[in-house]
Amino acid sequence: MKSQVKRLSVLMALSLVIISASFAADYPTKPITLINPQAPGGTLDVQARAFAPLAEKMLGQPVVVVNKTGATGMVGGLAGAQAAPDGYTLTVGSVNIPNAIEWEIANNRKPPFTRHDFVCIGTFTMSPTFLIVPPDSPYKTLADFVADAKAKPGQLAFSSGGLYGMSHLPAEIFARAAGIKVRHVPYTGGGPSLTAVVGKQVDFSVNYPANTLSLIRGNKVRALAVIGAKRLKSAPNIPTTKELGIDAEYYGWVGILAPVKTPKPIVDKLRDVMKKVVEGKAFVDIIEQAGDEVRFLNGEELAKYMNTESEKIAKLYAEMVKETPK
Amino acid sequence: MTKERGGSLIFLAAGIYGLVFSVQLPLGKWNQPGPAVFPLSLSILLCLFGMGWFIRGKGAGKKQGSVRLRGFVQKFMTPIRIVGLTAAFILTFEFLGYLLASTIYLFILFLWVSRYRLWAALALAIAFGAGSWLFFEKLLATPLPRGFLS
Amino acid sequence: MDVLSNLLNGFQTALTFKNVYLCFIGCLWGTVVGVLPGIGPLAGITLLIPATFGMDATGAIIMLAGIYYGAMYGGSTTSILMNIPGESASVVTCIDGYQMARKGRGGAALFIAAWGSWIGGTLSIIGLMFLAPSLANFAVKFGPPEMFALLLIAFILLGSLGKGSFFKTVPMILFGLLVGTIGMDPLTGTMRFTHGIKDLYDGIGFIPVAMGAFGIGEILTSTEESLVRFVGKVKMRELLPNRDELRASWAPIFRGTGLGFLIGLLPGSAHVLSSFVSYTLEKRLSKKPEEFGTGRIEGVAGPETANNAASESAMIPFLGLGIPTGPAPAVMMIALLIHGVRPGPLFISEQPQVFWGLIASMYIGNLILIILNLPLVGLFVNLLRVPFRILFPVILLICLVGTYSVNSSVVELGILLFFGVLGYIFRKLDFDIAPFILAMIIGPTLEMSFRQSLMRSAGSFSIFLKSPIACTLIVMSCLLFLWNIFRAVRPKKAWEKALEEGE
Repeated sequence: MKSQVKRLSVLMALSLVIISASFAADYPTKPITLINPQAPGGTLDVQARAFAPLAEKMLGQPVVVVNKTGATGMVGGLAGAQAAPDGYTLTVGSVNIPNAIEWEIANNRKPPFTRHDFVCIGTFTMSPTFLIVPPDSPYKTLADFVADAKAKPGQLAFSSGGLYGMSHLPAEIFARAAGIKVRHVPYTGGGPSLTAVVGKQVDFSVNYPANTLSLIRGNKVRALAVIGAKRLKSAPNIPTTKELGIDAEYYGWVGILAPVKTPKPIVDKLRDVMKKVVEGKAFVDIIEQAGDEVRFLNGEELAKYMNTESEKIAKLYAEMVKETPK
Repeated sequence: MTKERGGSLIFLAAGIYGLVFSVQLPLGKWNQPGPAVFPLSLSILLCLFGMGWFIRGKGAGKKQGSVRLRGFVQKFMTPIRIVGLTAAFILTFEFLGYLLASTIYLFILFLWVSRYRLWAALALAIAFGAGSWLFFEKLLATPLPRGFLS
Repeated sequence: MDVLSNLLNGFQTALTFKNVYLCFIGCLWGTVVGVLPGIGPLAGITLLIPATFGMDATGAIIMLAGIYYGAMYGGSTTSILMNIPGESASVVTCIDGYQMARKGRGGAALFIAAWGSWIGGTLSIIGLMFLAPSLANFAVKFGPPEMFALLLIAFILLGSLGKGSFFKTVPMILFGLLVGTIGMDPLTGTMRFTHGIKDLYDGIGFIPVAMGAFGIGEILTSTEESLVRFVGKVKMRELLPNRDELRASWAPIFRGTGLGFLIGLLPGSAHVLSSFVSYTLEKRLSKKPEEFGTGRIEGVAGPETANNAASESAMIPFLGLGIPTGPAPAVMMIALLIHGVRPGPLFISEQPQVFWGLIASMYIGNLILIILNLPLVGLFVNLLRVPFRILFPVILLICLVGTYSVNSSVVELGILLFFGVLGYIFRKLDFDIAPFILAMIIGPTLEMSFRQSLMRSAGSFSIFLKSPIACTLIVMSCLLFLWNIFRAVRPKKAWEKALEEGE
């Protein structure tokens, strides 16, 4: 009797393995959708659309990027979290996901989804931001800027691409680390927030290399520092905040997530393909052309990073919420 | 009930709805105007205009155009049918799947509203239902629900 | 001149057989996409990006640009023939364009729309060619205070858009503004009027409302009486505009070009803005403003030209600075990146062959489109001779599918139906829907510009007065507003007098 049960269970286990292996072997059999929760042309878009055709070559099925914008990434994020866990709908995740979620929590609202609704596949980049000012602004170094900001608390303003988004938080972190009080003027997206600096509508901003580098090279904005620990290959003359004595760093990671219940063989296959594409020359070239640097974290490393980040962000938000007028 | 009054009721309804919900939103301060400012002012203005038109729309029947209530339903039978059918389509189409739902929808429309004979309506419905399905699903790759049959 | 020789080089690049072919495919695909509601140019471009991966940069850009223009052209077709705006810039075209179609002048309207679009587009490109870098610098100076002032004046102009009196149009505008606030407030993250429905987080889209109010509303109105509609046999002569119409169109076309070119430089929904500013301008300048809304050709020529000119000049900030101001330049930026071209302020100097090739292809694209569209006019007009009792269920279905295809949301279908009924009711009550929709689209930007300005100035209203542009525009809008009230109150007296005299 017992041996029969044992045999049966071995058979079941074996068949499960075979089925799930064939799952992976068959996958993908139809096109894959990659949801981008941010606007076309932005940081996420560039990386996702560079990735898609290369992944398509490896997977044998079209990978189509679809923009689902709204609510600083919540609309797209929600769609991604609720998608069928069959590996055919993935999400271009970014640090905006924990940003958005923690903000809801900090404001005592229940977020429509959380990072636990996702399983991480990997990252494309993990880039720091530049602190930029208009080209003819009086600040030539970061020290000038900080000194002036301290002399005029609450008068200097910065633009961001959206409330609590990827270009807002690094500015807040920097301001607190440097001990200055500045005002925040949100815009809708990275593009408009950069235009605001070029057009001198605000005093400074922070933004990512992919968007900003060409403006720096074209002298439309001036970069005072990199908010991070290491200088960027594409901008070796720009010092980091750490070098200048300000303890601020923030990395906007961009990567791919899948719904948490996606079967493991599919997740593994995706991780494998992603690693190959992201570390491959074609992708690296495109990203470096845009001024950014590739940094691949695999799924588990990303999950760990998201956890520590979320805690840091939650603390930051707790302070910010206290300061917001109600 | 004049036309202006009819319109004014809609404005009043919208204005009151806006008022009720925008007072719940934070007003913010002068240097950081909150999400309530705009909708609140709009709602107040809408209510004002609604009341204004209500009063102005008082004129007697014929000169300004009126909408009579008698024979109302008779005249609007066709639009009412169309609206009802479309509502039914919307509610069932994810369950039935596009192909089936659209064919049924078209069939009933052709039969009931366009007044084709049974066979003509059926033929047209199948032609356009299947044709549109092929066009949207296959050619344009639009995501359409499969329904319970898939 | 340097510019001309560069342009000639560009033409050499663009006029290769392969590139012309790609442009043609792009334009064709774009027209199809533009005619079908819901599937806008962005989706069309997106669907084809993987296909461009195997091509060189110039070819890819040319094809994508073709799709973009094609969609712009296609959108006006449904506006004129069916009173369904293909996309937001075509809303204004519905007003007079559809009335022209009902009078049997639909072919003429389509022709003038295509013709005006071509002229507007071409002239705009010429302007772009010479002025791109300097204009880009001007565009960035337009910040929230200036934007607010501009939109303020635009809204007041919007008040004179409708057939009815100013006081009837204003509540429709207010209503549209209110509906525009639904969704998440971008400046604080608070949800407004969403009641927890996820599909409303991003607000109510243009497509369900426009399809509903115009498309379904129109069908409901038409089916009220009888289902028989007389559409006479269309002769070739009737497809083309007659001499009077042509003569009347020239001035609006040129005014539309200038207006569209300037407004297109600004960030945001510039082409929508340009279309209705042009319409109101034409209405004011016309000797018979009361005929607007019954099928005046100026009401089609001006706006269509303006929105095309605007979509060309919208490329300027992108070409000059590398910052995409809308979805279409954004997608082009990516296509460029994938092909190893870096957009940015140095784009023109570093990659002249791509830039000039792009410019040349814009000319070619516009040319191809007018060649494509003219014969298509006859085709489309004949399509409408299909009996209405067969046509209207199909149109209903297309509206439903088009709406669903955007976000796969049943809630949006419900919104579609709701606005269909609402549009129908408004029509019966003699209230204009166009101002409502336009207000809904532009409203959020108005609010945001206002709040951003105050956030920048820490609550001080002086920020509006400090900027010369903003100040001028605000003063102008106050004057315009007073003028509108004056006119709305006064003519009644003249009318009453005429009545008395008549009796």
